[in-house]
Amino acid sequence: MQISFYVILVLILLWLAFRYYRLEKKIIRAVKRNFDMISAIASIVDRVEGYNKDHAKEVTEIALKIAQKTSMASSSEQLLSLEMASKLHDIGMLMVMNDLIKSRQSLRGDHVFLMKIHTLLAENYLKQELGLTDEIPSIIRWHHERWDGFGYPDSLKGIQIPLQSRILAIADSISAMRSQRNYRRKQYKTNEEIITELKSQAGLQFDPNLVNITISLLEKEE
Amino acid sequence: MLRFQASWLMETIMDNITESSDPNWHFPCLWKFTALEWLSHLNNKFIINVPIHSQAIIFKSWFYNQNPFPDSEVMRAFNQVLNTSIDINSNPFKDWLDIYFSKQQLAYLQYWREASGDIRDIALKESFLSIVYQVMNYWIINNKYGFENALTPDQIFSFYYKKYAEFREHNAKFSITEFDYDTILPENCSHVVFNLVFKDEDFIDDDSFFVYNAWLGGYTDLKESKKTIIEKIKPYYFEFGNTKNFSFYKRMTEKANSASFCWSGTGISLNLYKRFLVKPLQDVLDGTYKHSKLVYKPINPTKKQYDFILLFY
Repeated sequence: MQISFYVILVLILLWLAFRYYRLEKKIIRAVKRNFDMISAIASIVDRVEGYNKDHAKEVTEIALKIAQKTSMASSSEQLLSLEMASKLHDIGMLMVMNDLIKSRQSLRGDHVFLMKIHTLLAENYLKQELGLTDEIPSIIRWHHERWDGFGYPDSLKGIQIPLQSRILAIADSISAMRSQRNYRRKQYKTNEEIITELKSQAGLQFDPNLVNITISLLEKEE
Repeated sequence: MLRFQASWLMETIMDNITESSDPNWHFPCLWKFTALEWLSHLNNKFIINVPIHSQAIIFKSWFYNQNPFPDSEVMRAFNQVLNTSIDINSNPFKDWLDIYFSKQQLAYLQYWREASGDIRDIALKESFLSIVYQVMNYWIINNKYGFENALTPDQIFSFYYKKYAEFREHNAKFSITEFDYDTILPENCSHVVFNLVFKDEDFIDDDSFFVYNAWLGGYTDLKESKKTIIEKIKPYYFEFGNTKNFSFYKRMTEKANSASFCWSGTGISLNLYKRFLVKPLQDVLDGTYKHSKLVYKPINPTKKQYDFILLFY
């Protein structure tokens, strides 16, 4: 009697384990599909912005490498949020006039203001879809803030800017430096040139602590 | 630490209130000038009270419309390259050597302070001083993290001079006051905005604030500088379970069509804020406004960091 009880118990456990294994596989497949879909959307945004490469993908890779060297490294949830935000950081550009995005000249006055709202448009639309508990829209909102308080949209200063947004700002800039951009005369070809630029912007545009981390990562790459 | 988000406040107001054609705003206590950048692009009027004098100078120079913009000639006259070495012992800020500034930087700080005394026009002088604040801020951070400064003192001064020019391209009309907590009066306005500061909160997160305040006063004692600043802000502290400020809120909202309370929360659950902050404020402003709405956004949910706006209308 007792033996048959244990046999049944083992069988039930085996069945549950099998069901769990299949469910997990399904979830992993669904998550991967969602990730691929987000990457595809990010790629469309890259083309709209006039990038000749997978800018969002590059930004994501750089951002995650930097994040692994910070206090965020132990939080898989925060890393996932940063990954998603990095992929979708410029999605607001889809709602900005094409003429502005592709302008070959430096923007001025109202045009600058219109360009600046792309972070807010992204935040607003994502907030509606993701709900009130998700931090991804906020990370995107602040990826153009500057450490010295002269960024946009809120002119936040220093550690007022959440860490993920500070990381995203550096990653976005490095990827942009490595690309051909219409509005910029100077092109940064080597890591050495990028390091020089990062150093010059430490304390101005970027968090100096993150600049140190990024420089050591770039030096290892060489 | 307060993360004031002007555009979010605007959205919240516009979602709930039919805006008047000529909106005007009153901020009874503000101390970070960059908080106004977004709002400065609107065709609105703003009355900003800045109780800390050293920061009020910066607000005035960046936002007050009557202030003349220093032309490049003025800047050249007062931002010269220092070639001769200056004896550090005669520098009134020598106590900061190798803590916040290098010898050369201290020489410039001494020179700029003296040069500012020669600028007769008060508005121009304030503009000049506010650019020095930015330079100090840049040096303090770079020295803290061990970066060599890529720009020379006069170059970084010119850099912020240009930033200043960009910042001044705004449409709004500002008036800056320096009232203390007890003397400030309510204003006829569309919106009154309170930025909540909590007791024991590190409401200023960088040393440049205190260093600049001391530099302006011509001394180096940062404890004294902090004390003067905190004395000005202390009356505005929000304390859970303490209703001392409620009469102030009631008075300030007397002539305002709507009121907003903005704060950044850390480590405290949403329910506690609702119970010990939102509910008491709703009770006290019940007779003034018919409706209230709390909105919040997650900053880092794993650490319970949220930003809040409580709107009354």
